[in-house]
Amino acid sequence: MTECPPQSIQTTCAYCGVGCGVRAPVAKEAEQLIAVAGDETHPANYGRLCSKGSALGETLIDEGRLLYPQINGYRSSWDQALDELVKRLKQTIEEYGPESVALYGSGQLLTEDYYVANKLMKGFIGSANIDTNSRLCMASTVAGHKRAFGTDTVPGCYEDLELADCLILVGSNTAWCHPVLFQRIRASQERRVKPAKVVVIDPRRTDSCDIADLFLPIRPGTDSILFNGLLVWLALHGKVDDAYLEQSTQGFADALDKAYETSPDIGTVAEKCGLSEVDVECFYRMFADHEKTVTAWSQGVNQSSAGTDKVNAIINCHLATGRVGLPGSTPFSLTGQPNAMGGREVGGLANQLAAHLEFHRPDDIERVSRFWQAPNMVQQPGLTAVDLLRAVESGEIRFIWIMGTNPVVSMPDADRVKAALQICPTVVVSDCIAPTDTGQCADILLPAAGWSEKDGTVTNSERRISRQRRFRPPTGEARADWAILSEVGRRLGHAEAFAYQCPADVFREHARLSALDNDPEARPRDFHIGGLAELSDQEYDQLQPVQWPLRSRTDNGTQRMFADGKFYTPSGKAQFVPIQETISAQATEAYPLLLNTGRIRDQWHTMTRTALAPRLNRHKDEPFLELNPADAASRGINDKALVTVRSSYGQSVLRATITDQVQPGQVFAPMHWTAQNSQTGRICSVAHPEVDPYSLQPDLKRTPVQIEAFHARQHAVLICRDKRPLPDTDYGVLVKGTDCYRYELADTENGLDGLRSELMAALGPHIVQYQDSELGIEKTLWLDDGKAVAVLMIGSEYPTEVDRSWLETLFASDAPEQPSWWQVLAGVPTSGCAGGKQVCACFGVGQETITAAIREQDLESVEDIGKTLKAGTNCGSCIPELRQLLTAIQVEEV
Amino acid sequence: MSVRQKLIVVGNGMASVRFLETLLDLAPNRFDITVLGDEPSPGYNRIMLSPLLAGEISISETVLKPRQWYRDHKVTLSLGSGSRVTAIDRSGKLLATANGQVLSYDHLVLALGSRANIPDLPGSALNGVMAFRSHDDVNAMLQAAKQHKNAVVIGGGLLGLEAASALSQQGMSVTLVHNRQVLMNRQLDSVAGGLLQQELEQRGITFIKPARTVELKGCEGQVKQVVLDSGQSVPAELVVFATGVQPNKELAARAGLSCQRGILVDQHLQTSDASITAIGECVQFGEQTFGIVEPVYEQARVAAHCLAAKQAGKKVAFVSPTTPVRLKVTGVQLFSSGDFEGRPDDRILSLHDPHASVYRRLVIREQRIVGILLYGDTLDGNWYQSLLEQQEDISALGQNLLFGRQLTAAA
Repeated sequence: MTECPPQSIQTTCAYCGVGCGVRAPVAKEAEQLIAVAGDETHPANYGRLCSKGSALGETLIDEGRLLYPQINGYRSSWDQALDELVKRLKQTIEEYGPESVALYGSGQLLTEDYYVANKLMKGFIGSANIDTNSRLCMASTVAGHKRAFGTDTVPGCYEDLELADCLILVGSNTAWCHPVLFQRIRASQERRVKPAKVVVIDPRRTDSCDIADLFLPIRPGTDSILFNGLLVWLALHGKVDDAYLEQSTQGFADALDKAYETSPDIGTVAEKCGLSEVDVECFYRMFADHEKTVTAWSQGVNQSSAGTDKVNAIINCHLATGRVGLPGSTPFSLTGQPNAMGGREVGGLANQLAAHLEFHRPDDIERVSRFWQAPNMVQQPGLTAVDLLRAVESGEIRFIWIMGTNPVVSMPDADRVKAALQICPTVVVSDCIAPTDTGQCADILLPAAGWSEKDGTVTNSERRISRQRRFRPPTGEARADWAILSEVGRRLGHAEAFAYQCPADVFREHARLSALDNDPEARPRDFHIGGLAELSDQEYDQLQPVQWPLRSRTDNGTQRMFADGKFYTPSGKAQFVPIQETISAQATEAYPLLLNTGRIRDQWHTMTRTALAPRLNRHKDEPFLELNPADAASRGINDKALVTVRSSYGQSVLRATITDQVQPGQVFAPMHWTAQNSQTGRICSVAHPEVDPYSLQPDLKRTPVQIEAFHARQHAVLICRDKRPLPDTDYGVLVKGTDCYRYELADTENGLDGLRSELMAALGPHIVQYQDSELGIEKTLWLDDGKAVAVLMIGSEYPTEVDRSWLETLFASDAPEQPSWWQVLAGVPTSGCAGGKQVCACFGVGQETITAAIREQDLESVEDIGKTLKAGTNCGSCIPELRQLLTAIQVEEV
Repeated sequence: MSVRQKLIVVGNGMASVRFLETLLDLAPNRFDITVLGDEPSPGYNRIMLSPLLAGEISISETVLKPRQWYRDHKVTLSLGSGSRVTAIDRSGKLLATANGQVLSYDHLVLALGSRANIPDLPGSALNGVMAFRSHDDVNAMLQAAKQHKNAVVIGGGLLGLEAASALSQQGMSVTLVHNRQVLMNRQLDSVAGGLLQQELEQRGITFIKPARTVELKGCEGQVKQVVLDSGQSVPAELVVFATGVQPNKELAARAGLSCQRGILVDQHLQTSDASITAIGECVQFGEQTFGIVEPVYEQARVAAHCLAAKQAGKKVAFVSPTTPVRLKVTGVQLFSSGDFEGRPDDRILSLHDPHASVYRRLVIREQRIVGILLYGDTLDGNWYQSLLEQQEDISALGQNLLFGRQLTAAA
């Protein structure tokens, strides 16, 4: 948004798997807010950024940072902490064997961190119990790729999304979760003479439907039926590529037979998937009629108890038509995390070995062992996420090191995960943030360098390796994860194996391993970055984004894979996988609704960083449950009311959002909120722990639940200048604003009366107050030197009329003139001041401002709104919402 | 040409003048009018006595109508102590004045007003002890302020507070003694009373309350000390009683008109004698007597209409309005109306901003405003008052009613 000074560092964004290039100014001290900009030369984004990326600079603050090591809650030196860690590690291994040790990592670690972690665990500690949150993200795709292609290879690239004549988004709210790709798609649609046909397949009508020609609101979990049906339809209509089938694939007949069993005709498919026959046929024709078709998918496919089958059902259709790895024509997994791909490359999952070498091939184990000179080389896969935490619970694992992730929030059946960690003899947590739900279970806390302080590489969804560069000194005593891991390796007695001096040392070794025996004669593999193995430190520093494989120094990388129809299977042919119908968890009488979980536009994962940027908290400020009007009405639940959602695993209290964007019988909740910012918002404590049998990825998209209205006696909104602990009320959410913190609270008893007395004691008697004896409303404003320090509004009903975004502006240090305190207590700005709920996060434009402008200035298009208010002109992720506002007003005016 | 009816108006205060104005407008030539007043100057606006005492205005600015106005309207004006009416002979329709005149009337209007209550305490006849009712009182107080230092005002109602404030402005050291905890307790609750007290304390007035005066001590006929029931004594060379008023009903009582606390009137302001009307602070209507100007003006208006309409047979009725008290106590805005205290099960809305010295309270019964109390900012008073008078259902106005019309509309 803001112009960067010419002397800026090129790095990559910390968030999703798009892997956008970012320019950031060089900072000497960690002080003022830093404005970042999109890197116009980076091939992932060409200068674009989304709302989260634009706000990266605002998250570079000391608030919440873990500054120094801690042992049992007390500050320690690095030496003490590492001594303690190594002592406990050795003891555990001695007494219980290496399998009693586990490491749970993150798709946000850099490749170098990941590589050292994997090497330390699998080669030196001797435990394959290293898994990561990537298990929750794209393990099904990994498994699906391997079944079809023999390797975990993404065949296509981002350009294919622009070149396709037919674009199918399956279980992917690209508009919110990969906003820059969505912008690229939108821009190419606008450029093209004949825009591509866009199909969105999703149980929810998401903002991605904004560009859809066809929306298929599929019944959750039935994607395989739909794609099996497509395979049958293609075969019946003579749309398969016989030559390709013959030359490049195996198993078509079996796959077709199975597909015919589940999906013999359009009528059956429509019935099973909850779709209309016309829509299904329309979709099949679109697929058949466009040689250039890209099917892109995300968590809606992966996070499923049949996730791997869904991936293969999709790939089967692409194999049948020969559309793999061709320009604008390929299956394409959109990865969730910034470096999930890098993790896959180093083998940072329990069932991967290293560098796309495999456990099931004994010679691969030998190769890696030899390369690492590993004294304790593992021989078989370890435990994957859900099972790994179960082993913690059962006591088989007695030492767990969690790096850069928050499983107490993000794992299914999360309360059980928390309980397991609480009883685990040793929990080490390395993180850049201090107050996390997982960190609170730690015995040893290690401060990790965060984005802007870390240095290394990441790989995005199109196999593109980019440098993530450091441009600020570490905060406090934070250290890079690779350095912490190496130090532990050295203290375990492996000085030579972990003698790395810099990330480049690690990277070169990783690149050498990828090239080890990687030739047609020995052990050919897709992942080969041998061309980078001899980079000098300077070359590493200056490395430009490049797509693997690149086999030699002169190799410029590889845009697409498999265009030649040759694969890394033993036969060299791609494999069709017969896909059966899977019976996943069903709604029951007791739990009649299916809970879907997912992301929102302006938050990332468990909000530890994005929630530090006030403007990212304005789009969706409370954890919510979307439900259909019919399900709401039958339970007497009003919009904005609190609602309890309960499964046989746990429960959560959320704010109801009533919308027909979710279908009857389904509900949706965001996965972001934690115990740090909400009492009851951890939705994964409700999610069931079912996993896919092949990928072992949890099914976070369809947990049977029940819901009911939550009856609170008191509701309150509290805004404070200074941060306070989240009050111990039945419902509570903390939202960071600009120079203030907002608390949305509710209690079934009179728990809020105590809060008022507490504040009175803490903030003093300088108050303005309003009372309504009948409605039980009590509004109190605390003042200090004529400035508001806190305002508390308690009532027997949820104070919907209070304009929170406006109230928050009173606390901003650069606030314009204060309004009257009455106005503050009334909670409504006089006309002209009201911005309303934030729509455009980049320019901070609210809904009221937009609707007023549409009405008063007769704006007719999203472009008009952009010209008038700038809204939607930066990252564009609010464009679907702008269009909805336009439509609503236009309908109203007709 | 018919003979004009003889109309005599006794009293020349605010009720009298408003009555005359209305009547002359309605029936300019029907009556032969005489006005008798026992104060030497023409009728004046008693509300302006406080600013007069504070030195903010001059006497001439308090005068309601100059003598020329009476001449222009052919009204005979007879002023001064000699014009005081001493007796009424109702059977003969005659009245007598202090200087021995006997006047006959066809219709008589009594606008006798009220007088201050000066309790009968030891020492209450001492020099320097007075009420705050007339030009004469103001002159005496101004005189005392020049000569003396200490003043005690007894009574924390509106008049007492204004007297205290004005005397303070005249440079005296003023102590106010009130027999209740809350100042202006008939118009304010404890919060508003507290804000008012705070304001006046900042202007140098000392308050002693709750306290009763038991004795006034003097020296050589001049008051020197006020002794309170607590035993405390306060130095004072000037003592002003502002402890309420009582209707001047004696003349009417002697004439045999029905009286209780005041002269009893019906809804047409007619006394027990059909030829005699009474208006203003001397009357009692039902259980009510009157001390503020709005209902008095309404009485004057109704009485004039009734008299003017006698031949046409049309009569207007007086309805005692739920009159809000809109006051400006020495610069502080106050608005008090209806049942501002309310009953236990009423809905009470309150807003208290001690920094801005603003306080608001609404009492709501069955979705209707029944009581209003505004301190410090009374801009919305008229709006609330109209909601109260029209008994409007306020449930549609949302939750921001107390924040005023603008914020209610904005919500």
